[in-house]
Amino acid sequence: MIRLRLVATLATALLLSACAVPMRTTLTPEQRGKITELSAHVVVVQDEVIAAVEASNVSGVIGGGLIGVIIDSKVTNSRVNESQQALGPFYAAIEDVDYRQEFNASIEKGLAGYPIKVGKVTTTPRAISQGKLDQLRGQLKTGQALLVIFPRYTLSGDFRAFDSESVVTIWFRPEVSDSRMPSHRGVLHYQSALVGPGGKASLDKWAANDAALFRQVMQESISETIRMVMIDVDTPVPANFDKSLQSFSMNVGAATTQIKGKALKSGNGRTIVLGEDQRLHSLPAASAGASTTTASAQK
Amino acid sequence: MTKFTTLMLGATAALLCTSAFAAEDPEVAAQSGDKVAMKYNAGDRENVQRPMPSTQTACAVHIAPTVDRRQNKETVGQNLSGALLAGDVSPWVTDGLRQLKDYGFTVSDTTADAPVADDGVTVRTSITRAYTWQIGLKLFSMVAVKAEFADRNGVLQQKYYRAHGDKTNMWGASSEYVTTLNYGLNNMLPFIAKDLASLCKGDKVAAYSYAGPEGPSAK
Repeated sequence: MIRLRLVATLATALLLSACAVPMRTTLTPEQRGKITELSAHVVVVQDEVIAAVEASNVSGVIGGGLIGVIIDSKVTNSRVNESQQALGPFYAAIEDVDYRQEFNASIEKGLAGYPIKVGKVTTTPRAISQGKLDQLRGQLKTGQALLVIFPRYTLSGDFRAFDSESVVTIWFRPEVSDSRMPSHRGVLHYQSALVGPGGKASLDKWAANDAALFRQVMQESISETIRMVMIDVDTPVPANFDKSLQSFSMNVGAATTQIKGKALKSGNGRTIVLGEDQRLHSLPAASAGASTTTASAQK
Repeated sequence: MTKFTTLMLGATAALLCTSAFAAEDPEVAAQSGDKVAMKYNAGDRENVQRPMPSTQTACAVHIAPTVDRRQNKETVGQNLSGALLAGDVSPWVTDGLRQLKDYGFTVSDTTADAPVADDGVTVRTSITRAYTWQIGLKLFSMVAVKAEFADRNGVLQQKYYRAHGDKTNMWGASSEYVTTLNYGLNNMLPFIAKDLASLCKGDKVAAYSYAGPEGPSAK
């Protein structure tokens, strides 16, 4: 029985990986020329911020097996339990915060400057099903395309950073493109400036004064995401990073990592970077390192 | 054997992936997901039944219907098919609160607009969060409830509870997400029972409690 369950569980994992799509694809000039209006569909599944907890992967390291799966289960449970216990009092301070409402209020105004006219905007908690996607594509009129924005947002494992990651896709009517893959796909990442030394001390800072800082940063994450949506559609997939790349530091929970990328835009104390990972990142300007390097030097 | 199993799982995954892309169910398209039945089950727990807190001073408990005050009254998360559509979850919470009888209380229903009962404690609740999320192969749930406890002399205390549950995703079935929410609600009940025991004695309780899968001993 346990083995059967394990097989079913593994099948689910494989299902997720089998459906993987490239990190970044962009519209061809011909496709872009056909669009006269976009219909935006914003899917916000989350009801509130959660802690970014990484799934344990002992089973991957030891080459699979039931023992690894059991260890992974226990470790992931423990990590979530610890973070949720810590987040508890903070949640009381943000009970009235409504990310969907904030996003909805910002997007219509923000996308007024989008390179392509944006018509109807729908914000929903309903994750989009394949049937719904087909239905929405089928409802498009000549010249229209569907813009789907799927944001997720977290506090980092050390509670010092607010992150959001949005998958943005553009789909055509079936008559124009019957592809089951999006004609455009971008992943947009926002990271706030770091707050406090980590742990409860950081949560206290987020929650202070009726969670004023949290509300301000969440709003910034939304406006930066919309800014990146606008840049994303005009940023092609680079054939290679043949120009100088800059280093940017990024918080990944209890540690800091460096990403390499090309700065696309700066302003408001932030820099938008096209990373080597093909994601767009909106990072605090202070995260930019002084040293530059070349792609050839990386490889 | 290992190779065969891997191939079989890969083929199954690819098939499921293709099937998902080919799905054209008009109802799914209109709803963008699966309707889930929010059915309370007292037996849904991560672990075996844990020892109940002492409620030797248990009094009568009158449960008013829970009010659904969630910002999102449509969904409780998502699975691979799309949204998990739950609708009104207040009867689910009310059913869970009735299970306080397991802690030694005499539980009865009262209506939302009924005056506070002459005996015992009347409990009025609203649910502000009920959602699930997934990390790897694990499902997690969050349940947040605001409660007002009153006796014949007036409101005794207002209280805010949060609880989470965790479960391994065995089949990817929609019902597993409801089970995970039941885990969360059932983790919360011992905390409510403990508070009721104190309130029945006239003692105050903390304004906030968090209930994880470890039970009432958790800080």
